[in-house]
Amino acid sequence: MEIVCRQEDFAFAVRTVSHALGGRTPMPVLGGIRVHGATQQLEFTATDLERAITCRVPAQVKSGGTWVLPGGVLTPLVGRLPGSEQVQLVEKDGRVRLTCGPAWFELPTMAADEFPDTATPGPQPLCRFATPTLLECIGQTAFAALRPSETTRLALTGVDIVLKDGSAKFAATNGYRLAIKRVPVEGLPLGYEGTLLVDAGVLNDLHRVLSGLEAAEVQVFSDGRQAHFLAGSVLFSCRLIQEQFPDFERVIPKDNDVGLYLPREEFLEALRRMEITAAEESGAVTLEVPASKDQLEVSSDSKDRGAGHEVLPLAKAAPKPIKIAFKAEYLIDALRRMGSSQVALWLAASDRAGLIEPAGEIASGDEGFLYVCMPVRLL
Amino acid sequence: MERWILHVDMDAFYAAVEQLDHPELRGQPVVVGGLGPRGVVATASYEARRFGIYSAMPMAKARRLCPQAAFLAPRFHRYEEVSHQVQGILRSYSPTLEPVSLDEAFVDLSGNPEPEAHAWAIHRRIPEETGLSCSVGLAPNKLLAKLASDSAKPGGLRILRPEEVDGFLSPLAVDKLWGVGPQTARKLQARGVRTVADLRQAGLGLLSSWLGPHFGSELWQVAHGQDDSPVVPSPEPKSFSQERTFDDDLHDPETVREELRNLAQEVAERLKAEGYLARTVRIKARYANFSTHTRQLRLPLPTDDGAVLSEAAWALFQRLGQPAEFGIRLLGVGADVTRATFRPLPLFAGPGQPTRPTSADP
Repeated sequence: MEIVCRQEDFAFAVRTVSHALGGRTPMPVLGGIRVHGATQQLEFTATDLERAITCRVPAQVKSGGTWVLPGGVLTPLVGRLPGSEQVQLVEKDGRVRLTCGPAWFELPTMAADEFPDTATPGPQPLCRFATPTLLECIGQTAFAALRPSETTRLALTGVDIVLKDGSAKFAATNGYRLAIKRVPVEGLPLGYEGTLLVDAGVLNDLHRVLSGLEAAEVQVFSDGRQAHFLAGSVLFSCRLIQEQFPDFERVIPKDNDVGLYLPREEFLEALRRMEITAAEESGAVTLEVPASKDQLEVSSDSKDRGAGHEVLPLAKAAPKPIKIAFKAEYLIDALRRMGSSQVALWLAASDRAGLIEPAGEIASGDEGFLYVCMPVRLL
Repeated sequence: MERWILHVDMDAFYAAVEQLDHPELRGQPVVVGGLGPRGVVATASYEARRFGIYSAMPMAKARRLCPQAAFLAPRFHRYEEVSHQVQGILRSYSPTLEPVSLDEAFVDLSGNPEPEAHAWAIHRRIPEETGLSCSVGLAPNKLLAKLASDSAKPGGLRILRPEEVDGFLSPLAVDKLWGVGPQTARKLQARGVRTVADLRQAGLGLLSSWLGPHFGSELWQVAHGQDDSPVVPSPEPKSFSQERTFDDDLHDPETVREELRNLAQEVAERLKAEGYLARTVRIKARYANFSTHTRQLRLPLPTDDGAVLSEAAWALFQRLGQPAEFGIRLLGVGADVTRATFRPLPLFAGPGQPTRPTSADP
């Protein structure tokens, strides 16, 4: 194979697919990037079997073929190539010579026939997202899932994407808090109902990949075992978790009657301060609306780290006094991913779940976001 | 205030409990330890020690030295029971009790108007009430109390009054001291230091140049009988675990699941009883071929819920990739723990959400 390609395109493709490199897997070939050239186009692919990314860029393909080049070399290389319009790649004696301006490199190749086939989507997308919307959905939910090291239940390491009634609902939970984001989707067949349970770590990778793209829209495909996200020339594929996500709708509090309207930034900063003096084991902060009902006292107290106390104004007097403790980190996790100037924290009792939603002038990125958090009981 | 620390050491504890429970073994050599091909001696009775058997010796060697001895697997439940009984006696003299192991404990008797009389009473009551012999040392600090009880072994009581300390320490061989192993002992011997008196003679400067400033000054303090470490009542446990060795290897996955559930339940009960929460869950499985596998996971939030621990234990077992059919001789469930100063409330009632694993599951 012999090809010439714009350096910018070449670097873009390598960088994009590198998010799926399977360097730590027992199959060495998964540490490689497959480069396939045909009909004035190069197709780059990397996969760790969990996810696969394919990226197509235009190129002059003088003679077609397939190579697998070491990802661990190509990825840093494309960031340091000298300024030159084009790169040229030519195969010679089992190695690939990459020439860029005054520099050349000879790269070892790996066995192309050992590179696993990656699935391709069917002809018809299930639905379409505006790219910024999908980014918000992932950004505001994936963090709430369990990390694989924390669980034996695969379901909770995933983000459940429920497609129904012309909307998509993303939900993730670690069993103590739950993040939900509901957005409209385009093109969902009438009457369609289905879910895609995707690993949260994989979705974070998708987020990284999409953030580097200009495509305005992402098409979603699925065959029930795999999901594919197609954005312009980039295809991101991943396996679906074949487990049942817990019924999260039933744990969303419906009758929390104590609404606390708080300035989001100030609340967030106060929590970050109180987290420092929170007890190490629980990381808990106490929220208390005193008898006067016009303010919120945020405090923390610990044996070894001292204590802290801060008063925040309430935009609207609370209907009744209340005292409840949360793991500070869980509240911070949600508040820092929101953009609205105000939030409403809905409480019922000290041992019942709290609910956070954007309030006041709701930022467009916060539309459809809901966060449920269980308190901790301090003994 | 004058400090008075008491050290109690149960004599050949595991072996003595076996002789207590099995009268036919009294006066006979008894060796308690792992009976498998890789087992080591945990405790040898005084009768067995005469044959040169000592703790940590490979069991196979012990069998060669004294084939006629009774070789027994340890019954930790029973030893714990007796240990609690001894601790109960000690606690009636002072609440400041530091158990070092099942067979050893320090008691702080400072402020007690009659420390010596109480030491004698403890030394009398333990054999009376448990049927087991113990050695007791009473001294102004932990270091000396332990040396005193060592010198009284087996079955004796040694009281070291402050004015007797120098005379007691001086003739002691250096290898009797805390922190002096065979290597340090050789090093010191090469420089003509054999007894504690020699150590003192050498002085802080020489000791530091021989052994480094840290260990040198530590040893100098020890040689002068100085130790201000406090008796720490029941040190904060870092982890709880339960293990069970089966008489017949397990082969059936359902039985394994049941046993893991029982072990997890036992850990959970101890967590609740002592006011702790589990931060991690780990399992241990030893197979018929003696290969031992462990797996662990960190829980998102600490818990004392037996169902959560049991579910995690079973899932971890499946993750071992070592089927029960290989034959399992030992199972264990453990957890790193933290004080239960709080209780996280779960979002979903009960941990056992229905899951439907399919063939796509790795």
